[in-house]
Amino acid sequence: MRPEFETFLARLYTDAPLRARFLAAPREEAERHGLTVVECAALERIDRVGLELSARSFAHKRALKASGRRARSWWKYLLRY
Amino acid sequence: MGEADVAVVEANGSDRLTADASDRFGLTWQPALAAGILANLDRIDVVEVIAEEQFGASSRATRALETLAKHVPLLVHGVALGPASTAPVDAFRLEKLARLVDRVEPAFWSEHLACVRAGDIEIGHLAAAPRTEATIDATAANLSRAAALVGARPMVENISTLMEPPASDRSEVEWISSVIAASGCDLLLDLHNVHANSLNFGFDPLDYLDRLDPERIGAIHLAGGCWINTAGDEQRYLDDHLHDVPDPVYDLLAEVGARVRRPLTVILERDGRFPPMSDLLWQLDRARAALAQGRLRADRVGASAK
Repeated sequence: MRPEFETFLARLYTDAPLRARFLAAPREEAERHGLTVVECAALERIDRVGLELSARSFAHKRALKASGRRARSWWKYLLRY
Repeated sequence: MGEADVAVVEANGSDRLTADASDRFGLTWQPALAAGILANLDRIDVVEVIAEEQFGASSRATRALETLAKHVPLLVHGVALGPASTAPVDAFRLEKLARLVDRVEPAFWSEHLACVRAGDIEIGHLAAAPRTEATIDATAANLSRAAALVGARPMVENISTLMEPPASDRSEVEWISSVIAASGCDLLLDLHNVHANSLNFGFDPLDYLDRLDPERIGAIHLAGGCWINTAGDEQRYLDDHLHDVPDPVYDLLAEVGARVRRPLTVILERDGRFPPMSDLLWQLDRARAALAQGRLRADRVGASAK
């Protein structure tokens, strides 16, 4: 597997407009990104439901990280301990 | 009293039905659980801390972590290294991991068999790498680099996924077994991830366990999840760490106990919607009972074979 394939997958997970174009025409979009014939064929068989759910899950995780929701002051408990 | 309660009582009340003395059971450290964990260290053998949450911590937070390490053995668990990639793992992240491991001196450190970034794109979480020979080799090389820099091999964890990674030419368990063999790393077996993937992709979780080398399983993760709906009528099962450990996962833990003879570290992961600490401790007791039951079953089979 080539790094270009990995990068394209990462784009599919994170870029909604690209994902929409890809789902409308998988081979054409993959070819536009310079992927090989074998890579394009693999992407044509992609699990579309799984791709959408994965993208949604990853977006949720990125939003959580961006909001800094995890408390950082846990050590206060320990300093009292 | 249900079957699970009976199992807990039996496990706690019988010398024959107790987990191996070297087995350890614990929780992932969460700020919301801090007080509960510290008040119940007599029932918690080990605490797992998320590595990335300690990076860039203040000096007071660092001292607090060292204080925690004096009271209970710690594990360091990474979530953002992303060794399952053709790209080399980030040396800067590895250096931070190495410093944390030096400071905390955990029983072991661990990381996921996942891809988290590619090119300049941060995926945001753990993505399954295409299961091919190339990613086995690349992952083993990354784990070797990590072991050299941190000074210890990580245990590596199987991940849950909502999609089969495209371009894969082998099953998940074949890919994981090959990475384990090529890297020399032991497996942190997340049983809820096995459960979730078996529901989503229709494989038999017992067959999955049978195909792992039991000698290479060193630790266990337990968690919960829920069904999610798609735009159509389809459902998939999500590993969300927001629900209690479901019954089939305890059954899998018993199966692990029947297969694995070495001492195991079992961690219950809970990231939110926290129940009372008593509920989490009860789930740990159920885990103790399940592992003990599996081990007892193996002992009986071994005794009857003699």
